[in-house]
Amino acid sequence: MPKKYHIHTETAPNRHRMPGRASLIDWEEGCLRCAVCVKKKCVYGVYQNRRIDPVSLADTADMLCKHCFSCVQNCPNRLISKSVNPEYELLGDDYWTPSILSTLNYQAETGKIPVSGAGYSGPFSGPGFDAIWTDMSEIVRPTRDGIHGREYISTLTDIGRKPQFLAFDPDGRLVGAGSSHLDIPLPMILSLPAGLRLGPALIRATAAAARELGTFLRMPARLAEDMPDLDPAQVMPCFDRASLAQGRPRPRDFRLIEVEDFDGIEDWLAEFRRVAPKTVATVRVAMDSCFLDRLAALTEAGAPAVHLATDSHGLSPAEDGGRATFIADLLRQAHLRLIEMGRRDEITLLAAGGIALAEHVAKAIICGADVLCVDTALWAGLECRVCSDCGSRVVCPARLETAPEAWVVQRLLNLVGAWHNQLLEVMGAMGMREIRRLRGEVGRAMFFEDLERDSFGPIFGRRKDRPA
Amino acid sequence: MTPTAKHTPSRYKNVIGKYRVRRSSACQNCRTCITACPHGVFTDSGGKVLLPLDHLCFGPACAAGEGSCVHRCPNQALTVTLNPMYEVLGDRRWNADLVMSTWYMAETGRVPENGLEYRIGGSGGGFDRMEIVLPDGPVDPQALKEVSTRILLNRRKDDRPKLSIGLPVYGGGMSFGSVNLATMISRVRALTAFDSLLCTGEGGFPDALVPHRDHVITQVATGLFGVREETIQYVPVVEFKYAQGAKPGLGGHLLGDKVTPAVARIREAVVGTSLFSPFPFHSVYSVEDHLKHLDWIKQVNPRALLAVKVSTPTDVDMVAVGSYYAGAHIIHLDGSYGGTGAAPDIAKKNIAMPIEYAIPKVHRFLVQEGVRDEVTLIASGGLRTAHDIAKAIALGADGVVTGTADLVALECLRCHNCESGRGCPRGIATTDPELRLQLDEDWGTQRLINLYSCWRDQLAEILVRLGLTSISELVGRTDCLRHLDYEPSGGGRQR
Repeated sequence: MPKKYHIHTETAPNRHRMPGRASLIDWEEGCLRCAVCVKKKCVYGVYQNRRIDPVSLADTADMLCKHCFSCVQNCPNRLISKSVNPEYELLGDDYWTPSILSTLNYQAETGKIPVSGAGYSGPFSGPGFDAIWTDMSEIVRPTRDGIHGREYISTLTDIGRKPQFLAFDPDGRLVGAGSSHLDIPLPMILSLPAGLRLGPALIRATAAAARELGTFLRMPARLAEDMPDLDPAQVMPCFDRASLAQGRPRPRDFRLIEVEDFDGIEDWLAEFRRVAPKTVATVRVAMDSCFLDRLAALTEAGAPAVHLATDSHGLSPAEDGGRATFIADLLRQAHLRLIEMGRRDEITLLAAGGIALAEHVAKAIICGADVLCVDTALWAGLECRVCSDCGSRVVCPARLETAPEAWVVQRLLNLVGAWHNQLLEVMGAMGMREIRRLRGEVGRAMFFEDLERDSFGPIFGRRKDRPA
Repeated sequence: MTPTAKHTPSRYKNVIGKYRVRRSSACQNCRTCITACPHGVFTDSGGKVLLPLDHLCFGPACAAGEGSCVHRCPNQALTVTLNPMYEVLGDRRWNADLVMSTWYMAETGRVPENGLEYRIGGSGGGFDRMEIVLPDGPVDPQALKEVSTRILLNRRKDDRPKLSIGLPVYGGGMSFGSVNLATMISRVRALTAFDSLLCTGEGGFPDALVPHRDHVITQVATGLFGVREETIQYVPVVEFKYAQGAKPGLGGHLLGDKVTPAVARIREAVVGTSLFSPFPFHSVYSVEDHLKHLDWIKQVNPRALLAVKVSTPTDVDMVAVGSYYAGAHIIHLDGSYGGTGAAPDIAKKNIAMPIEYAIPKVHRFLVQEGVRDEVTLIASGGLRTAHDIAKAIALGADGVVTGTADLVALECLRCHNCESGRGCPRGIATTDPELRLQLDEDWGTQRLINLYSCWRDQLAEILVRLGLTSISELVGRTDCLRHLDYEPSGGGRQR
C-alpha cells in the first residue's frame, strides 16, 4: 500500500478583519457601572480582545462575537444589542454567499474541517448541489474510522488515456503505445480564477502550493510563457489556437496541457500524440447545446481528456432564450452519454465552475467528473471577497497583491487539506475507499427530485414545478 | 395525572422579543402603562416601572389601537417597533419565530398569541411546506381531556413488557459530557412527569440518573463508553446506536476540553483526552452480527425492550426490516437534519436523507412486508414543534424523539458553539464548572414540563379536530396532510 497522502496544515492567520454575521451594538450611554460588567463575563473574551483593525480602522468585536447573546440578555439596562451586519451581507454574490466565503476563509486559516454543534441550520434543499445528498452505510467494512482512522482511503485520480487491455506480439512484447496517463493524489487541479486579480507573486505561490500538493496549476499559456521559472511538470498551460500557432511555450514541454477546441483538432491531437506521447492533452469544449455530440466525437477520435468548463456559478451559457444548465446536470448528461457509447473509461472528464465547497467536489464526481478545477474558492481562501467589479477596483479589499508567498502557499494547503479531509469523511460514510470508484456512482447519492417523487409522490401527487 | 404548566420566566434579565418596547426619559413612573397593557409587558417593583418585557408585547398593530400603552402614556414616553434582533436570531430551520415561540411555550405552557409562528420553521421544504388539514369549528373541551397521546413501545408478540409512554415523544440521547447533569436531570424529570423516557446517549449512566432508571434508556453505541452490565440491567429499554443523523457514517468525538474528571470517570477514560466513538460497530459486519448483539442484550436484561437507532441512507427501508427480523422492538430513524452535539458541517448538511423522506419510505415498506403492526417506528432528526410531531406521525411514524427543542426550552439559541472553548455559553451543553452553574435543574424541569404540556395540548386539539381519539389512530394518515408545493388535488390515500 502506498504511503498515506497527507497535506501539512498549520494556522495561517487572517490578514484582514472578516466581517461577522451580525453586528454588536453597544450603547454606552446609560451604563450603570455594575461591579462586574457583563462584558467582562464574555465567555469568548470578545470585549477584552476587541481592537481597532489597523487596515479597515473598524472595531473587531463583530468578527470575534459568536452570537451567544449572553451580554445582550444580561445587561441590566439593556444597552447591548445585535443587528444584521450589512458589511457581511454584501460579501460575494448570490452563489458565493457570505456563509460560503466565511467557511472558506476559516478552512484556509486553520486547515480544519468546519465543525459546529446544534444540528443543521440551512434550507431544506436548494438549487444546484444543494439538491443532492450523499449516501451512507449503516454497516460497512471494519476498521474504518474516517480521517482519524487506520484505513487507507485513496483519492488518487488518473488523467489521460489508458488502454482497455494490453496487446502483445507473438514474442510476448507489448504492442502499441501503452498507457500515457498520469495521476494526481487528489481529484483537484488548482486553476487561476478568471476575472479576479492575478499577480506574478500570487501565481508563483499558487504554483508552489500545487507542487506541494502533487497536482497541477492550470493557467493561460501566455502567462506560463512569461514565467519560465515555473516547473513544467506542475503547470497545465491552456492554449488557444493562436498560442498554439505561436509555438511558445511548447506544448510538448509539459506533462498536462489544455487546448481549446477547434475545427480539425482531431488531426492535431493525433500528431501531438506522436510527437509528445507522454503529454496528456485535454480539450476544452464549448458548453453550447452541441457539447454532448462534441464530447462523443472527441472520444471517438481518441482524445485523452475533455474539459467541461462552466462559469463561476457553475452554469453553462444559456442559448436562444433557453435556461442555463448547472454543472451537476451537465456532468450527468456527459457521463451517461459516454456510458451509452461504452467508452466511459477511455476518457477523463475535467470540470470547472461553481466548485465552492468540499461537498461540491464529492457531488460533482458522483455526477460524473473525474477531476475538478478549483479556482474562485482558492482566492476566497486568500480572503478575496469575490467583488463583482474586481477589475475596475483601485484597491483590493484583501490586498492580494501584497500577500506574502509563504502565507499564500500555507492558506492554499490549508484549504485543500480541509477539503481533502472532508472528502475522506463523506467517502468513509459511504464505505467507499477509492475516489475513482465514486465517479458516476449516482447510486451513492440521493437527488431532490427522486426523493420527492419516490417518498412524497404516492402521498401528495404531482409537484407544482414539475411538468405534467 | 397530567403535569401542569407553571409560569417559569427566563433566566435572563432581558428576554428577546419580536418587538422592542422603548421607554424614553420622559417617563414619570405614573404606571398608566401597567393598566393599559393586557399582556403583562409592564411590571413594577417598589413603585418603579421596570424595563418592559418585550417578549410579551403584541407589536405595533396593538400599539396603534386606542387604549394602548403608547396612546395612553401621558408623557408620550413609549414606542413599539420591530426588534432589530429579530432579524439576527436563529437560522433557516429554527428561525427567530420558532426560537422565541419555543421560549414562550417553555415559559408559559401556552402557544404564543402575539403572531409568532410556532408550527413551522423557515427551511422552505419538508415539514415547513406541509400542513395538517384541520377542520374549523369549536372543539369539545371534554374530548380534549379524553383524547389519548399514549403510544405502545412493544408491539411484538413476545413475553417482554407491554411498555407504553404517555406522550408520543421520548428524549434523544445527549451524553453526559456533551451536556451537563442539570440538563439531563431536567429532561428525565420532565419526561418522567409525562410517563416517558430519556436516552442516556453514549456517555455512560451518571449515578444521579439511577433514581430515575425506570424512565431511562441506556444507549449502547460503538465506543461502548460507560456501558456496564448493571446499566443495561437498570432500564426498561436499551438502545443500540448504529449511526446518528447529524453525522451519519462518522464517529462521535468528544473534545479533550470536555473530558473533565467527572466525565472521564464515568467513561473510564483519561482526563483531557479526546474521546472518539468509532463508526461503525467493529463487531457488526452483517445483519447476523446485529442479531447476535440484540440477543446479547436480551440475555443480560430479560425485561428490556430493544431499540435500534439508525440514520437514513437510501436503503433505510431495508435496514429497518432487517432490524425488525433481528428482534428490535423499536426502530428509531434519525434523519440528517437533526443532532445536537458537534458534527462536521459537511456531514450535517449533505450525508443521508431528511427524515421527512425516510418516514413514509420505511412505513410503506414495513406495511408491504406485513410487519408494520409488530414494530414501533420512531422518527427524529429535526422535529421542532408539535406540528412536526403530528406530521411525522401522519407520515407513518408511531412517535418521535426530540433533542434540540428541549435545549431551546432551556434557552439554547442555537449559536452552534457547543464544542468551542469551554462549551455552551448558556450553561446547557457544557460541564465547565463555572458555566454549568447557570442552569438550575428545578427551573429546567418546569420549563420542559411547560413545553411538553403545550405540545400535548396542541396534539390533543389536532386529534380532536380530526375526529380521532388517540394519537395511534393518526399513524400513516397522510390524507390529513397537504404539501404546499404539490398540486392541490394530490391528497394521499396511503394507509
